[in-house]
Amino acid sequence: MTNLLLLLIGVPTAFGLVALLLKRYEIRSVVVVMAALIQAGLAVAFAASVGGSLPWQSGPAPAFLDYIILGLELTIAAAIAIIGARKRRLIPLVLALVQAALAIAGEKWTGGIESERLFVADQISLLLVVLVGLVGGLILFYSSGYMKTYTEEHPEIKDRRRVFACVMLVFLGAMYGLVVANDLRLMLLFWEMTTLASYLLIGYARTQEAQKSAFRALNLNLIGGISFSLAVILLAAKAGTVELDKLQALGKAGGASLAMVLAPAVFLALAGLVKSAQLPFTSWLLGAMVAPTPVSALLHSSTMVKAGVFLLLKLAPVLSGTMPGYLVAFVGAITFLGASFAAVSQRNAKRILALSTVSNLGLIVTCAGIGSYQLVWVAFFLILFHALAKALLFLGTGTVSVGTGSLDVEEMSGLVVSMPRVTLLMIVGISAMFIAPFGMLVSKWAAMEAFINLNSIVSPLMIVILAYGSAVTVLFWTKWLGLLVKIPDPTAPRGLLEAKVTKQEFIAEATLAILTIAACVTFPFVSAHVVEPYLLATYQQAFGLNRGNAFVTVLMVVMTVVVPGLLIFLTRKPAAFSPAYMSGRPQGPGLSFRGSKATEKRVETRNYYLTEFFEEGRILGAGSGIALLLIVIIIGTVLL
Amino acid sequence: MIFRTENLVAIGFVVLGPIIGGLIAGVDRILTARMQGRIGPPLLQPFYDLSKLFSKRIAPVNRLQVPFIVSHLIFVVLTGFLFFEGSDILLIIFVLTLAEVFLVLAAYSTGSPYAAIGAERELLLMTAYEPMIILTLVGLYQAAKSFNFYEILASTTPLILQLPGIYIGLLFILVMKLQKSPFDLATSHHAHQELVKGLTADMGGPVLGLVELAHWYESVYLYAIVFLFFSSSMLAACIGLVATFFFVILIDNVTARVKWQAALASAWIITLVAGAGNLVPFYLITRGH
Repeated sequence: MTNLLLLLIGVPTAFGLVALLLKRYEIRSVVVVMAALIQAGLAVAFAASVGGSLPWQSGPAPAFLDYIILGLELTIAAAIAIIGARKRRLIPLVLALVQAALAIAGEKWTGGIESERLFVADQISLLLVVLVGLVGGLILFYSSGYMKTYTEEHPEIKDRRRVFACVMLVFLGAMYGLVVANDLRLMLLFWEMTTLASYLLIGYARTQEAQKSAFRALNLNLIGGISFSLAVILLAAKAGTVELDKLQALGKAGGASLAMVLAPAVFLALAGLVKSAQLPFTSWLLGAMVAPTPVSALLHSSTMVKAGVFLLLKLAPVLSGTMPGYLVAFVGAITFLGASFAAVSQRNAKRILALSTVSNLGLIVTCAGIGSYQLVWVAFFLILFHALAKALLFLGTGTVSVGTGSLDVEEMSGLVVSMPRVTLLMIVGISAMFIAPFGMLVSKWAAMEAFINLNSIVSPLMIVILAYGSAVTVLFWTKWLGLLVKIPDPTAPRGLLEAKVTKQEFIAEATLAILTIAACVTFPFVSAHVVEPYLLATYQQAFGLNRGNAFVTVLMVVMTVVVPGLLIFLTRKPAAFSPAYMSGRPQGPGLSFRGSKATEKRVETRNYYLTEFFEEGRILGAGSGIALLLIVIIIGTVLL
Repeated sequence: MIFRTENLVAIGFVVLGPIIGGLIAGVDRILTARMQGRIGPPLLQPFYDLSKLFSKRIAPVNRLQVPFIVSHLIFVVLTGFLFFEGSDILLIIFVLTLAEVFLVLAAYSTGSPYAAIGAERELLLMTAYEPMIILTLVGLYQAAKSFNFYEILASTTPLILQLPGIYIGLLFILVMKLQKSPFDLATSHHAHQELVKGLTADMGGPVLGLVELAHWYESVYLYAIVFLFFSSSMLAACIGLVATFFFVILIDNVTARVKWQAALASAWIITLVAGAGNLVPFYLITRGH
């Protein structure tokens, strides 16, 4: 199995390097699509082959690996330092040097330690492996179509698609390594690789804005990386190990052994908070939306931010019930609430999606920080459903914005007429994010029940936060949905803007939509066969939906798809349409009325954005302040 | 197939729901009229109105409007069915949100300025009342240790005494949910006002009839939730229900429509003060058994 795993990490990386050498777009495109398919196949094969008896564990690391890891780490630090020096940016230069110094100085404590198990894969790792494989693969496939249009539409941006393809593939390889590494030194290496990769991808366009956002992402994630390094050194110095599973075991044992590993766990958690873009570190993910669509889709769905919550979820058994754990949960809760409030006032589609990601990650962080077995169940499904639906929405938004020439959601008004096929897929994605029977909302409902059953002092506060947050979620998604289904003129020809949609884009989006619905229908099965065994092994307690609720949710998913679908099909050819009410003489079927002297007056409507209540800067500013204070307290509790 | 009483009640709701809902609407109109010094229509007037609506021709504005409205009705009925069938009411209330979303989308789809404003405002009202609904259900759960309608119904202590703040919050948003003044800003019963009919401006004939029907169904289980607060004694339940009903109509008649800012802010503040102010200490006292 170890060989299969090494293939899984190595193959995308190798394909990435090959892509870098191929100059012809057509050939490279074929190679990238092949790589996407092969790595997805490998991911599923690995999950299937180790899935029978989890956790799967590899043997110890070869003796020389230590030096290779150190060498590679220093190479990454050097690369970042050089980037910083060349672009005249002091902060990344300094941070990279600090990281390098920590790597060398840390050898004093970590150098002699040999880890017993280099890799460990449990159900959470495999969830990420499968998501990276399928979602990452589909995003790569999409990018082979999208980047062609992107390059044609943006002649001012230098064509660096070779580097793009290479970095995307290496990114996937690093993600696989990250989610199965048990030796934290190795995980740190992959962690820093994803940081560097996101810098390169966010800065793809090389405009001033892109550069600024890329450096912001780099700086914040380097700080996270330094926190990670400190955690590894602390763990080695205090507990004499660098292995994640041993950290978990010591933490679960409680008492003195928990006290020994709490500080390293907290520093790892901080790294996770940065990577999952929690307040006050949110700005890097919001800035990242300047990148081409496939990058946003990748960062938001299955990679990068999910690496952050993945690590937090792994730490959940350690943090559960501790003061820092509760504080981490509150950072998540504030992020959840703040980001969903801020999303109400946005018109930019990518920004709505980004804030919704931050908000959902906040909820996952809350679940992981409190870490009861029921909340871990919730976090697992939030990760699953969010990855699928958010990838779908980003890819869909990318496709739509090429058609409408804008990222403004108001420009998506009437999209159901001008891009009916893509709109249908977008509706699936949006529905999956907030509508009752679909996964995200089922997870939120389960979170509510989990908080109630928690019987903790924090429960009622979390319930109140969740109640307000989910109400606002309904508001900003339905507003968007409403624009999509608006039909200004029922007699207008359909599909006018759909000509530019490439086959690759549509196939990737349609597959994601099918996966989203499939996940919603099959999740009781996933719960019974994947999540509950994990909870039993980790917490000696399992949570699953009772049969009645599972039945109700699956029934609802089917009904939500079938009822409107069937009705729309049955009424597809009505006799005639009445004009909409205009408070005047309507002029034909479209949205216009006859004014004085028989002039035609067009009617346009715009959505509410409620900026006086939901102003982004104020909300995120206040949230950042509180979150920063909480983080200071978290560090204080473990250091003092 | 085993038939439980719950199933019978749920089927009873589907069959009799419109009759009870229609009668509620009829009494509402008579009471309103009396408050305004009029005699008012006969009790069965809502049924006459509805049958007239259904006798008209369907005139859709676009191809999505009718499917969305029918979906709205189906999901409102389904919510009630599952509610009386004994499903988890917290889960069910999210299904009701879905039903509301269909109604809002039907209004959005027409694109007319009146419907668009109505749709936006209805969404705002949903945002305003939803936190309180969730807190209400959590409060009921915490008191009765169940999300099942019948198990909460069977609780022996009067829930109103344990959850007075939550009851006040519920009363407040009930006015919103039933589209009563001062929160009738998304749609009103009077077509001559500045909104025309807002949310339902582009709906007419049988389509409007379906919306009205859904509204009747909805009012039945909204009042069923109110009933739960008094369920320990039949007499108290009847008095509580009648008083609540009377209060909602009184408020409808003595207040003027507010702006959306006031609706959202007041609902959220009441939710926080009365709702959360009741729930948080109540949870802390009753937790951990």
